Amino acid sequence: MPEPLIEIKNLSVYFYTYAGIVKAIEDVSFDIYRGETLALVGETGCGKSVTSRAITRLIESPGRIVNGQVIYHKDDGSKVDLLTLSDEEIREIRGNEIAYIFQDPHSSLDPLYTIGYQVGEAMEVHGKVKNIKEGITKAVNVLREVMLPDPENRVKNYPHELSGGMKQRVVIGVGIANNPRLLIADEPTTALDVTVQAQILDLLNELKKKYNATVLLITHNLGVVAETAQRVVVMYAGKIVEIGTVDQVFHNPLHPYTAALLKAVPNPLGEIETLESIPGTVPNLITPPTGCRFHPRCPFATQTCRTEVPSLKEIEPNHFVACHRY
Amino acid sequence: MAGLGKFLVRRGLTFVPTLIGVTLIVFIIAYVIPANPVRAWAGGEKATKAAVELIKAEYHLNQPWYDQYLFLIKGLFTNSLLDPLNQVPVFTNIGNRFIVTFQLALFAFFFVVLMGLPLGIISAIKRNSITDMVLRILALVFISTPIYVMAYLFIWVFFIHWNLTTLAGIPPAPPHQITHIPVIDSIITLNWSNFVEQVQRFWLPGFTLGIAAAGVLMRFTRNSFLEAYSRDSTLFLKAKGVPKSRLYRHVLKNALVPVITILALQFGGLLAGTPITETIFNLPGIGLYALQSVMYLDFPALIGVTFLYAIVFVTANLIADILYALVDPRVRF
Amino acid sequence: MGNNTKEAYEEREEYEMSILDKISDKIIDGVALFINLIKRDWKKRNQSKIQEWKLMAYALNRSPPALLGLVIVIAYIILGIIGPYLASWPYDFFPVMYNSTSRLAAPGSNVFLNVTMVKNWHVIHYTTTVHYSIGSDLFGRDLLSVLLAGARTALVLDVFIILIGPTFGIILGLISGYHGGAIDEIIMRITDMFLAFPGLILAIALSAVLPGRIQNFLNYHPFAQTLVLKLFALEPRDVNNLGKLLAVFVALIIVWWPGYTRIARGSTLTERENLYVEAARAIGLSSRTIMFRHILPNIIGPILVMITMDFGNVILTEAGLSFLGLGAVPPIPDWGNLINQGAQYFPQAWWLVAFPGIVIVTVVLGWNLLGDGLRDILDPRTRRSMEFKVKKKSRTEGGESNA
Repeated sequence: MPEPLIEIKNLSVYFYTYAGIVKAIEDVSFDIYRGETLALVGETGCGKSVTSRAITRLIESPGRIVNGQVIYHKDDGSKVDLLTLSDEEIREIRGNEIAYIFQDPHSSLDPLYTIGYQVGEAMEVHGKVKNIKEGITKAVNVLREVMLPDPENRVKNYPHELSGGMKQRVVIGVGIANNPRLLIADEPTTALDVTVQAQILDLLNELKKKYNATVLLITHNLGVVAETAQRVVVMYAGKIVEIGTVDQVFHNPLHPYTAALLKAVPNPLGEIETLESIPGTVPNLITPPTGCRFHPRCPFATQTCRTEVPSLKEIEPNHFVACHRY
Repeated sequence: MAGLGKFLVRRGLTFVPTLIGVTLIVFIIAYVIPANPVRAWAGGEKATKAAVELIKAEYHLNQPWYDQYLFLIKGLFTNSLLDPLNQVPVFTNIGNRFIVTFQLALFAFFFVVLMGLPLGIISAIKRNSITDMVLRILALVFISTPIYVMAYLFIWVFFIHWNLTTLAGIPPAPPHQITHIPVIDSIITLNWSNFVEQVQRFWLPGFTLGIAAAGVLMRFTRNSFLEAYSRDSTLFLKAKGVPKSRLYRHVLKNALVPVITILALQFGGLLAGTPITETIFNLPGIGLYALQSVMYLDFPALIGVTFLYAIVFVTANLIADILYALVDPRVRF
Repeated sequence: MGNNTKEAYEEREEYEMSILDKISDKIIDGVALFINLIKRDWKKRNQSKIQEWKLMAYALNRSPPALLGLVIVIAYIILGIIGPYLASWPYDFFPVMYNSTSRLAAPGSNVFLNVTMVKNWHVIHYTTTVHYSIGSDLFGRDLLSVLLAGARTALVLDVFIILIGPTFGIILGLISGYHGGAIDEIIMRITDMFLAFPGLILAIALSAVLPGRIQNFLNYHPFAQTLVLKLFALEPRDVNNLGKLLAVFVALIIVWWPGYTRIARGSTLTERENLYVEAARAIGLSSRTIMFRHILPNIIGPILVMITMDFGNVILTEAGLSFLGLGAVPPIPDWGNLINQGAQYFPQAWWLVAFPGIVIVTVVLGWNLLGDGLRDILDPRTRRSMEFKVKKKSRTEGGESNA
């Protein structure tokens, strides 16, 4: 039985905007196991990023976490709900035990500080080094880890002097500087050139092996999922529709949305068939469809689907689905 | 810094058309003026015909317009153009008065920075709170109040009621002059009594002049801070676990990049915005000189003043550009 | 999806519709109906635009400073229209001619007048008492009446200067940014020259130079004369005072366009790079159509904010010129001129500085508050980040849109 590192329970995040209350994610529950790479997949705007940020409460106004728990299992075996911690306690966890890599390296780094300073700062604010000077010295090692060429001189560079791929290596460097227990990579390759994407993924895989870290990988690229992850969580319109191992989900998708999604892209684990699009549009989350949120686009929708919200059911070991057909 | 030298030359060249254009505009305004200024220059209605003719010849007024213009510009550059009202070269007049205006602008600038920056930052940090709302409205009140209304209110409070300022005369410069700006010289030479005199005379006009600009700076700082705060890099800093104070340090540094350039432009604006303040507080500066030159149709003086204002404008822009390149590593000359 | 979900009920949070929201909804629906009268099917084709306007109005309704600004601005416009008729004494009636104690009479005082005047070639005698609720000016005029009449002067100058100056500036900026090249270079160099010139000094110089010419023009064009007199609600015998008033008007227009050219050009330059402009050009739309129908609506947001705030700035500058003795002169009622009169007798005649000062500050502040509110609402980024408070929970039919 795998040990959970994080248990997310009934997490809901709403955005109170002028156009209405956007229910970005509602009632999201899943576990992240120690040492695994868990992929969170879904279309743009389905709540993947919001979910990952809510884990350490990185939700800005007008967004608010309205409900839920994020149980974090510490090394000493004790458990703590991250959503009830004080600001200072959660700050000590961010970047130290749970670190992030964001999508766009061009905007993640502060343009006015050298990259050495920014990597060193990550260590300094968590007391891993005495001062920023020592931080910058140690940053050379971190940047070598992420295979940035010529790190001794590069630490003095400003972000604008680096290419996109190199910047993302720096961002990853910031993420791993404190050897975190959970690394949350939010579409780490989307903003990069295709050729660089593979290098960054390789780097992530290697680092993960080396440090035995847990990774939550957020992506809409199913090819990346097949290559790097062990388990998959599929989200649609702010809700989880399916959870399972890569094998289960890719070979035996239970939810009609997962099935449709797999048909819409070349199935990375199967042979190439004709690609199909999913009819309909992504619902607006201010007035989401009642019942199952996928029902307006679902070919199998029934009366029950329109009125009752399906809950997650375990169909086979470790394979969950939220659909009235099962 | 070879890049800087090239940059200065390149920018300097773009100033030339602006300077020519500005003086030309004034000249055209003067040229189309219906009233005959010469009689006024020669001493009013009683002026003899001979005196009028002499003045006409002296200022090339019988020549075609382009000759008149060249005469004025050449006179400015060689400082041989005399102000017809007091027979002193125009730039000598301007030089004496510029010291007063510059000192006034310095005092105003002091208040602008002292109020605008911190209040703007507080407003941004406490965004959408009551404090923020009060400060935002305060900034708008600063901007919305005519300078003369503000001036009389302050005179009433600080002069008539509390007598905290002097409103007549100009205190003498300290005996030992280095920069020729009295208040700076008095600080450098540690001439305490002269410094107090300067402050007593200049603080209220400076405060009055600076208040609108302080409102503008408050709003600009707030918006710039919030813009920097809403960037992805701020979220990444939070995700890194950076404490609040340090986070704000990053945001502040980013926010100050545009603010510093605005400060340079604001100082230029303060130098050019003195006419009403100098009138009310009776300070013999450039603004008052400009007003008088318009009233007395004193065109050589007006061209000179305009020329000075244009130089102030382009210099402020230049300094803003240089500061921008200094604080932002992304910008190169 | 509406059809599918009608049967379902669920408890949901929603924002409370305040009375203001309902009023703003009605106003916007009314405006939409009105446009529909002019352009057929407009309403049908612009449903989402109307919806967007309503949402913007909700955001405005939740910003007390902006609402305050709106109230002040509306009051200013109404007073500008009917102010001269509300004044209890005409602006060109000088009590000081009949009783010298009416000069600079203190607030609350009453002055008895024994009036002898010539009207329609008849000599009229009568006696009256003037009550000065907030004091009188140098000519014994009731300050309140002059302030009311002055609202018209301020509003007319304000509206026409903003209608002409910025419009001219925006058009130049659009042309400059859209065409680029030599046209751009020429327009921007000229704009830079005007920007390098302190606006106040240029306005001062112009308002010193222009009055004679404008007066000449008016004397030869009786139609223009009547029009201007009607606009400012002035008596025909004040026609010889119009030159100075209109000189300020022309001076401020000349000062007011360059800022807009800069802004419009900058936004046009970025907007021009968008694909839709490319597409519009590809299907052969004329430059004029592209500039005014496609680019302009996309860059107008920040410009509208600037225009709103400049309504206040025009009042400030105009009053500043009057304060310096340029521009409107008595008997033409003008706020800045009242302060000019009061300045010479400050602090004895404090009311001549205080009350016009308060009026000017209030009106300018009103425009600025409104502009500030509009900035938050028109900028999609700040609008999205505005947090709304949930007022009530209600049970409504699920899936039905309230947004």
